[in-house]
Amino acid sequence: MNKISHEEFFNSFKDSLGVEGTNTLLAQLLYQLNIQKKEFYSIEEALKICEAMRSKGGFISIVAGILAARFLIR
Amino acid sequence: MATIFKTGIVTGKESYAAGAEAAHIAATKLGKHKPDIAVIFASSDYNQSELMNGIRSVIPNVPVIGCSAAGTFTEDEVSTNGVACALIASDNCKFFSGISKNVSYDVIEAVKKASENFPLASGDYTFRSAIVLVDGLIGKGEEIVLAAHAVLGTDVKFSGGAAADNYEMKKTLVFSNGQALEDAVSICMIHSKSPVIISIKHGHKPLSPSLTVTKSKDNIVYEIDNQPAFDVWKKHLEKEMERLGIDIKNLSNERISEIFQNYEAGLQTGTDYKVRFPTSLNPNGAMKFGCSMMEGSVIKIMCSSQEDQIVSAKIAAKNAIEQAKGRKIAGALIFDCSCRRMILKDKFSAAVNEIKQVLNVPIIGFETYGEIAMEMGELSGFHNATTVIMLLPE
Repeated sequence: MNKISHEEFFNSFKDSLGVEGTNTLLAQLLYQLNIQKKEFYSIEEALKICEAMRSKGGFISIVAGILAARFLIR
Repeated sequence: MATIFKTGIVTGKESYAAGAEAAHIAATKLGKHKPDIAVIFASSDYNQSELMNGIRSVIPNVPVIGCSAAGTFTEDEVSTNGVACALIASDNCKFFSGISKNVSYDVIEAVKKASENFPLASGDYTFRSAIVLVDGLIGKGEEIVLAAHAVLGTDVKFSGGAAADNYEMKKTLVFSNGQALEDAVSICMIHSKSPVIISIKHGHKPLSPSLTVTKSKDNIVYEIDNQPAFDVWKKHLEKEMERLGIDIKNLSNERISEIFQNYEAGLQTGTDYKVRFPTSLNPNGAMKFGCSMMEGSVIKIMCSSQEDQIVSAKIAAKNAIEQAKGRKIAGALIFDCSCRRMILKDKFSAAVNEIKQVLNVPIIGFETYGEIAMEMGELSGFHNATTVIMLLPE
């Protein structure tokens, strides 16, 4: 079964939000979704994270859409 | 024929005449070849509709892309109030252009509309890239390049810039096919037989300790470290202002804001920084940036010397040539942050000269309110205080 790494989420935002901004965003989303931070997430968890990102609006929402599409194709 | 890239530049003059003359100079250099696309970067002092009419009087059926600028240049001249024109004729590239309004309302829809007539493929022109030009005052830089990535496909490389208006921060326009529009995006899709080359480099380094954005919405930062953003900028730049002999206590907020535009925000992205340009100071002390700034982001105030700016321009050009790996280059489009001119002042042409000498091909460029560069697979493509070079292979 495909797993999505935390690193993939991190790398997708570090160039636009910076290292700390990305860590803050991911920590907020995981807390909101009650998902524990781990090295790999299931596809279902990853898609939930993307869905929560979409509610943030702006470019975060667009990246979330791109990531969700990538995960589903994979 | 391969690809032929020729330029013209005109400073001053009435709008229609300036457009016509810039196009005429480039068309004369192009000789018998029919241009496939015209790229226009023009001072916002011109009446842009008249300028377009002047250009179209010389090249009536040629697709045009471009935008208003804070300065323009070609290999022949650097101008603060001119119009630069590049004409490109090619049998190795196909160009498709489109424009759409209402980017600030729905960025994805705007990109879809601008690109609705683009073909997905063009036979053996298998490499796809796009030049994206967007209104520089709507704060949607990062969104526009990501939307273009989502709409146009994952195999597209992007370059481009945010339109400018000679630092007036009032109205920036993008052009395509006879239209000059605000709150708009102009896209030129390139299908080519070999890949374009994109190189980027900024010349900034950190000046302050790490600071946390504690209150922001979209592209406006209200508080840093729980204090009004502008006060924090002032506090951390006190020593730098003393060093420069500037007494900011006796200056208006407007004047301070102008000076502080030389000190960008840097987001640490690992070993380097992504630079973010503060475009203006709001009356409440908040700072407006060229793209979204998220709460929780940690920034440093960045600075750059004149020498750093000239060296970074040269490095961008050298990196581009290295990537070309000996392939012949027809010409280069250069998207250079308007803050470089603010830092370099009358030495600005020195940075352009460095690029010109390294590339040794015709160039056209403008000073932007933000630069776009995104390679395939990347998910961030909006930059500030950076030089972006796109080389078009022969």
